[in-house]
Amino acid sequence: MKKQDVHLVLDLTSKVGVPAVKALLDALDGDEVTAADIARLRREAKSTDEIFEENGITFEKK
Amino acid sequence: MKRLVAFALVVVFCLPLAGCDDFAKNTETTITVLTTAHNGVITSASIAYNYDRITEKQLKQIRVAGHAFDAVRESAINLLDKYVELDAAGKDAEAEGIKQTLMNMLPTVRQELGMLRKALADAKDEYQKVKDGALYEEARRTPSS
Repeated sequence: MKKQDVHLVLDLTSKVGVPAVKALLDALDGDEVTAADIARLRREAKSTDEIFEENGITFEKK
Repeated sequence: MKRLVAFALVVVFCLPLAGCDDFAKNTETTITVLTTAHNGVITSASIAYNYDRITEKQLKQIRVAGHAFDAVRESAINLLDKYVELDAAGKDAEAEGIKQTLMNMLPTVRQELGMLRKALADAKDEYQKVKDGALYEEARRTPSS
């Protein structure tokens, strides 16, 4: 890794946070998409309601 | 939060420029970035609601837009899953069909994210107008000393 790459990663991390950068690096890792990558995609794809719940907002179930 | 969403969108729109031959990889990265942006918008809406910056009605409108995004993203992940499976099995013709469908769907996923962002921006603007109007009315009713 070149010095400017390290700076880029540090800059991105300071702007968007570690989890977002890690998710992006995981997605860019490797040459082909595997079943594990799809499983990771599904795991990270939280629904709108799940994110609301994490922030203390719940809605009545219909 | 705005910077997070802006970064995610820049990456999404730049992705097609890099390594166009690896369709599955680019699609996976695109979905990851869109997911990050979606997370940012919903978290931002939650904070706005928790600090009384948007009303419950507006939050519900954002939720509806969020559900639309959830649905198209899930379809895109399912299609990518199918594409990877068919491609690995050497079923090129079927894989190509799925690829075309997925290529047509990705702009819709981006569009739904755009609608979601707009719903949040509109809610904030609308709330500000109501608040400004209420302050104006209150100032008008209060006799000046």
